[in-house]
Amino acid sequence: MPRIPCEGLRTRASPRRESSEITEEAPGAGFFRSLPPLPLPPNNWSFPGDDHPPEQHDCLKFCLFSHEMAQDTLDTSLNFEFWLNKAVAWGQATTLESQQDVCLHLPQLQKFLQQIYETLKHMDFHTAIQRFPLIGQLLGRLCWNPFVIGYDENQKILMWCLCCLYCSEPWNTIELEVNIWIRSLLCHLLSSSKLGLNEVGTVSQALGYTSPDYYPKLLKNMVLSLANELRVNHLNGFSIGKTIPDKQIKAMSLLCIPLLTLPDILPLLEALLTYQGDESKEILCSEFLEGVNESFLQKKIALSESAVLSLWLRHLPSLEKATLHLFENLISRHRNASPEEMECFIKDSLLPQAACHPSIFRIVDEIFWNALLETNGTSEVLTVIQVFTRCFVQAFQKNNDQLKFPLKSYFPYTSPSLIMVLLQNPKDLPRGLWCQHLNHISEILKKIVEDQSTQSCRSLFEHWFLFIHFGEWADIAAEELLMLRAESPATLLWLLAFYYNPHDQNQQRTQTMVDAAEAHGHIMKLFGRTPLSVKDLQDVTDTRHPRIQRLIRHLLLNFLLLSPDGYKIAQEFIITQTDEIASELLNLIARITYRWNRLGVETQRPAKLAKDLLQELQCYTMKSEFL
Amino acid sequence: MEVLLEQLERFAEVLAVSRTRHASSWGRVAVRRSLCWARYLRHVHGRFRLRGPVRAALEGRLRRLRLRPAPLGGDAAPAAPCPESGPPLSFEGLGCGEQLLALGLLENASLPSPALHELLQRLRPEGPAEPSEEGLGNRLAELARRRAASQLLRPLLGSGPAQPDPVLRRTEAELLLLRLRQEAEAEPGAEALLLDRLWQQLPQPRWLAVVAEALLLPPAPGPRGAACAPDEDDPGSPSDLGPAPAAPLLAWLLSRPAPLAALCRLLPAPLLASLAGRHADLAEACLDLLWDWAGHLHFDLTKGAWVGSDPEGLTWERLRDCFRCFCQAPAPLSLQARIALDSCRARDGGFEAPGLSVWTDLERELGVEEPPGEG
Repeated sequence: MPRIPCEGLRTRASPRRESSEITEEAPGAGFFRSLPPLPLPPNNWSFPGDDHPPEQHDCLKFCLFSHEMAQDTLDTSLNFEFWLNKAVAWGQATTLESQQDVCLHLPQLQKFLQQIYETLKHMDFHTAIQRFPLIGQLLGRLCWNPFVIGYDENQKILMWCLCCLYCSEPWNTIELEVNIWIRSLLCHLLSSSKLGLNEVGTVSQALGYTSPDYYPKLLKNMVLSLANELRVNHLNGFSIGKTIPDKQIKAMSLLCIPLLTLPDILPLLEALLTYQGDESKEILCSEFLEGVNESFLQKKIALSESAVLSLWLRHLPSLEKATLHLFENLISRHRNASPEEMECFIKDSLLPQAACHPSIFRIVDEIFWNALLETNGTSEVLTVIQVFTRCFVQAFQKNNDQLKFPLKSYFPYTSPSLIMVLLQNPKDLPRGLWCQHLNHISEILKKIVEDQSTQSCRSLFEHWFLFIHFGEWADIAAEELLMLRAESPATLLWLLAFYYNPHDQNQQRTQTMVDAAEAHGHIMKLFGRTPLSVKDLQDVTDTRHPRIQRLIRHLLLNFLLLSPDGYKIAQEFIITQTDEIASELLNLIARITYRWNRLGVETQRPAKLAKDLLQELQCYTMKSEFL
Repeated sequence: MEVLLEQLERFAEVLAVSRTRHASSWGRVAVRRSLCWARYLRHVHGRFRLRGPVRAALEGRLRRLRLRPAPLGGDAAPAAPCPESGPPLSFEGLGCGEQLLALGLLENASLPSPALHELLQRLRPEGPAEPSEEGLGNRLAELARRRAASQLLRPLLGSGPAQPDPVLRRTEAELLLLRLRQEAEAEPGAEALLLDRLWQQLPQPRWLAVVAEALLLPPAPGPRGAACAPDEDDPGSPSDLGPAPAAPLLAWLLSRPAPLAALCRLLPAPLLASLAGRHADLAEACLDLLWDWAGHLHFDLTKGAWVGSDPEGLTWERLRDCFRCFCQAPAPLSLQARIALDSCRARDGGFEAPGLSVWTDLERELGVEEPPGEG
């Protein structure tokens, strides 16, 4: 399987272990000791440990901080200390530094909280306190940090944790006070009556509405107001002068990071992404852009096309990540995807539409180029490039309303005449003219390739790479060769030879052409032979011509699909091949059926047969992988 | 059908009780049952939300419940919902009945621990026994998330603690109009009662700001119920409120001299001008009022200015500011204002010299000597 170059992908480092700032608790400290001086509910309760000596309350013994117990599962405990330190340092996330730090750690924090909950859910209060003596501090502090609460599922998990700790039948003061504390913290999380906002409840409460009614509305109005301000700010920028300074816009993007997957925020996200400052420097903070991209790739938010385009235009790493993500999907995760399914994935990714912008196209192309080099031009990658280009051309031609860029901006290092001739869609040409067109392509390419005096090696590959994009024509060439419709098979053979062996020097190329012609002749002779055996096929693909194996296989495969005798032994033959070659052949079959379907070619019977063959072979390969 | 209505009544009582000290007698079973009812009625709401007759019947019964004296030993005022017992149940409220119940129980300090424990267990993913119970925890968490989001975004809106928060006002205005529509559907004339009560209850500047905002909300984009079904998440969005959502509010304002007077006296002049520009009736009423008040101003020779006899009443400055804003407003209002000025001045005797007619001086101050239609 081809390895996908993944240099563009970033991995997040796991949290560094920092030194613990927590000193060992005195005996009898219990759950409440050193709760943070945050605006907690107004009830002033004295901490149980203050008034009563420890031995009078057995339960307090459970609350003793036990170092030994903590050492058991080192991982979670040390992490606990780490996160508690973080929570203390963050406070309510009022400073820029604390906000940035919170945003950096949000995904890991959620995972950690999930782990904590998994542990807590089997415990009651006492066991929990033994296990995590400082759980109260942690939960309390986190619940007062709006960045933490606003992120993804944190608020849910924190709520669950608090529900776990609630004592169902409190039989002493501690448990009663724990219950009160939990209740007030839950109220703080969920309810309106203890809001920190200025009298927001007065009118709404007088009207008889509660938080489920007005928070969605309030949030919606906030988002619309901010999005509007951004738009106006942008318009005013040149004449009246901005009302919102750039620094505040950066702060806005930071504040949105925890809220990315909240659907209500979408208008603000779009307004931020499409906002253009005056400076060439990026205003939005990079964590925001990364976060948006990540959420988009995981399909957690539904951004509009223009917003995604803006994102990728202003943040290169996001574009790279999106392309690699697509590649991974197509090659690794959905290995047996047919080109039709690939088309769906590709269109969903919005990359072809975005690639109508030349700078984006060039970056995506660069990644394709690298993939091609790393995998030595394996068939899967060629197919991906081909299908992507088809989707891109569709998007490009549909893109009527916006400014169309000249074709040269997409392929700047190649000859324009070649671009034009390759761009021709076979669907728009009558079938009889395909050969003529192929000849035309071949002529142009030949001229470019043989004009070595002015061409560099790089230029050669550029032209080859361009040809790869429209590799459909090479597939058609192979077919036409088999159907004997070509007037001069040599021209078509040259095309195929160039497709598979672009780096041939003059002498080598002559030799290649001779070998290819011989192989072609050999295969054509197979048409008349009955009965056809697998050995006959193997004779063709033996190592007489080691350098054009792929070309030969391509021709042979076409033969197998187009000749009834060949079809009968196709499966048998393919099974005898190595895994790599078999998957290459399968990929070719998929490409061929895809093309036949699209072009409405009247080879209906072969098309159906090819599809059946493909299915059978795929089942076979899957079975053999298990064994 | 009758059974359903009875169940509805029962649940409304339950919801009311859940917020009072009477909930101290609740145990686990009570909580479980009440959540069950809430869930059942949520399904009812979902089924009949778009079906006229059944929905109307349910709303009718809920309306009657609201007007009934609270079933709490008569210690609540009959016409007003007891603030301790929380908001009256509406049909829309059935849709989030579970959340309302859960929040009510959570906020109720007198609920005993086992009962609250029962509720809290149901918020966890392992808690509920039946799959249909899932979702309450999720919905509450969503609420928490939205709350945090508003808290995060609020500093960006740029309003300090001293300034009124426009987004808040707008939200309150939308809620006001929503409530008015619900009251109007329930019973004609109920809106006026509600508005009277709010006028009494709320601090004036606050109330007036909300009223002003409500009257300035943009009208609905299209005919009611045109494009899509009413937005479930946002029932009070302008498109859902119909073509003239503020009509009852305007009618009330015009029929109540005290609020109208307060509006004219206290609202910032530019805001008053926007209001008047939007609603012609209001413009007329304001101008009448201003004319009436201006009659109480007399010229104090020692100070060389117009003063009012009543220290609380209209001042010369206020009169001037109002008229200035009116005259600077777009077409119909500015015209109206100038015509009013001219006619008042003529009525007073058409003097040119200062100090004789308040209207002359006003016109001179504002520089509107020219006949209307020019400048």
